[in-house]
Amino acid sequence: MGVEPISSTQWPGGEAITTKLSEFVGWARKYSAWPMPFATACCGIEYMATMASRYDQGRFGWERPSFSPRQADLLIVIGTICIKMAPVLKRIYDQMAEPKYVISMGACASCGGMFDTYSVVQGIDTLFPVDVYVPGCPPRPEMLMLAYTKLQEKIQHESLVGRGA
Amino acid sequence: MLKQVIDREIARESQIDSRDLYDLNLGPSHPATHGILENRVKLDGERIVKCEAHIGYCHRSFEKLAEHYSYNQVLTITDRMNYVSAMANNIGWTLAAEKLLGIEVPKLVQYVRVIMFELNRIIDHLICTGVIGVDCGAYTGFLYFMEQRERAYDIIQKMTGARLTTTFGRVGGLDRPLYNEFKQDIIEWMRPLPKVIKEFHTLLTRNRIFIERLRDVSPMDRDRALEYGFSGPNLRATGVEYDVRKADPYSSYGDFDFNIPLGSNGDAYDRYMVRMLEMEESMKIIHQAIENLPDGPYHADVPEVYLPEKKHLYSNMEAMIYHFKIIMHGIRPPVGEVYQAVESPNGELGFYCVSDGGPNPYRLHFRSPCFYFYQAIEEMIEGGLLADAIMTMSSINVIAGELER
Amino acid sequence: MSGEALKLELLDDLRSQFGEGITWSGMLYDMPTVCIRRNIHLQIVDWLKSSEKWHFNHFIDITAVDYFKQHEEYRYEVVVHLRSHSKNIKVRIKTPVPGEKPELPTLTTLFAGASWSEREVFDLMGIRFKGHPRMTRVLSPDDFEGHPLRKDFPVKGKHRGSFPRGTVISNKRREPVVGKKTKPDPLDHMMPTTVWEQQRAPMREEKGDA
Repeated sequence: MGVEPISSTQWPGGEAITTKLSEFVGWARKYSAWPMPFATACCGIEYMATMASRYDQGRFGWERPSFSPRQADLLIVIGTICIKMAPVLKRIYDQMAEPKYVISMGACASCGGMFDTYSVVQGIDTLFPVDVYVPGCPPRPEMLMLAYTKLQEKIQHESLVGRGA
Repeated sequence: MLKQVIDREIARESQIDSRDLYDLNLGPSHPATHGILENRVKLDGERIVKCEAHIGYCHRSFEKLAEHYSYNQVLTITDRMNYVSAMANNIGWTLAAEKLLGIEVPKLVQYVRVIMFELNRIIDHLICTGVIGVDCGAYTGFLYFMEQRERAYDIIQKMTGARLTTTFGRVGGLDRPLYNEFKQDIIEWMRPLPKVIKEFHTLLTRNRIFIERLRDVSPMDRDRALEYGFSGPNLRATGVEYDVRKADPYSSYGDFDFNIPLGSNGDAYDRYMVRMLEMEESMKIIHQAIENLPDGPYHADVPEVYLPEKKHLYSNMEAMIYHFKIIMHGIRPPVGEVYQAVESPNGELGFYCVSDGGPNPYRLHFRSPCFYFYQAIEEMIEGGLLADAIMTMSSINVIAGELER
Repeated sequence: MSGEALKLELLDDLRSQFGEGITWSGMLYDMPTVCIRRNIHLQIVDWLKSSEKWHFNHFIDITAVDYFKQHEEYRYEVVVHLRSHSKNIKVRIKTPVPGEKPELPTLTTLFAGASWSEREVFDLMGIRFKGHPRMTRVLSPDDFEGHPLRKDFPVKGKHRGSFPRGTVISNKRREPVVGKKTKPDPLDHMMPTTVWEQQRAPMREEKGDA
């Protein structure tokens, strides 16, 4: 954030900070996303390990995982998505309100993984746009935290008008 | 007590008007279902009148994939079945393939397999009992147990290179020799475990709220459980003494001395207690195995099946020829079929493998324990409250990867 | 009585009870196995469960194998594993099923655990079980066409062309990027196929891409 403190001789009350509105909103948004973990398979255990005490995800400000999409900002798709599950996932994505972000965790969610079969969707980006892809089978908790920081950078630099503008 | 009150009410209202029933979908995306399971229930107030279970949301078609993989590549699939204790499935598959090929592995391999199997049993039960607590609202015990699981991951990483999907071992032995500090690491890992388990006991086991939530929730009758195909802790909670390690010992389990905890009426509290006691039995086995760890080679002497070491490969002609043949021609067992069962933390995990003499299995069927006791969920939660249904689903420890392979 | 002698005694009892119904019996890798004719499928399981001596009350597994074009008389074989808790012994029963109109009587009247196993066999292989209370698919979606584990079903499925790779759902209007024809997967031919499997379907269907 562009921080230019104005000295106390100019402002009798104290210091002030000037910045752009989009950066301020981005700063507020990136530290307070409410993730919705959509855990299906093995990567779910690594997500649980990220939530646990050794690699704590609460220190990013994402302390409250919500299990209702209507109250969530961030959909983390964790694990393999099968063709029976794909309409359910699409409906959950549609139920989220803007601004919403998607992290696709694991190889299976990003591209189908090692399951190139009749029953596995080859990547959730065939269903909706994804912001951050996390490779790995399963990805280590440190990789997921790197994905969080990358997503935070992305949220910081978003414009206020609309995503993609 | 509460259940008797409800039963009396059910008996009093002999006919329930179907317009009063509320359709609820404990749907595939639900925080309390472990993995993605769907239960379509009809509710009368809080009471579940009818239940219909739908699965298949995690069907990754392992059995079809296995027909295109060689015998060592199938190990990568078996990891993903019961993913909280991946090495248990790996060991089961290597045992099945070795039975098909007629290979006898050395004692060191058998003892190391027993140690890693029991370690995986402990970490599976740690997650299951922790999650039973979480579903009641008791989140703290879960965090204590997850820390022990992380410490176990350190050992598993040093053994295999990965935390969760381990691909442990090969057909014919282990994949690499044991690392030097294996014995100290295992003993060091087990040192604080009894104290942590005791802390969890003081938090939950005699806790009045916990007992009220779990006592008399979905009791299972012995004979019905046997008919359904239950196995493992869920069956032992009903009082049937069946453990594949004792009934059909494999991988030198007969050398170790351990007990089998049994329950009495098969309700959720018994299933929880059986798992807590089994952890202590597993620790006994690991102590015995670690103290008597034999010396010896870390793989069987079968050059047609087990890849030679790289240093021999580059210097020895026979090793190079064997390597070439294994890679290009594949491991070809004789024509036949085999069924090998192991006592995985959830129950009897069976591998039914049909071989046609080629490099891939012709048909591979995983007899997953979760499939058989999830059928009974419809019977178990009908007539109970909605909150009891959640506790049932968490106490039977259903893992979606194993349920739908 | 030692385990081996007990298993041989079981085979003798079965042979004396169902003389012509059994086409083959013996030990396969330490599991007593009987191959039977279709008409005694229900009777043999009923006898095993209700006999006081053996009392096979523990249900283990039902599965099926597709021996595509290996035998002329039948195509599938339904394999039932049972266990007797009192005697601690397992048995395997194999029943041949023909390719046209594959059907067998259900075992749900005897074992409750057979209900989902038979649904799975129907889902993956297409063998119907007469008298089953709910004969629907269990693992695949309800509107799935085909039976995946048959040998003539490709492992990558038949629906891949239905959404071309590269179609992106977004709020901007964009033409779907229809993928170009890719080269056939070299791994399809690198691993030598099984001996019986020259008739197996290739991994991917011929049309389309990806």
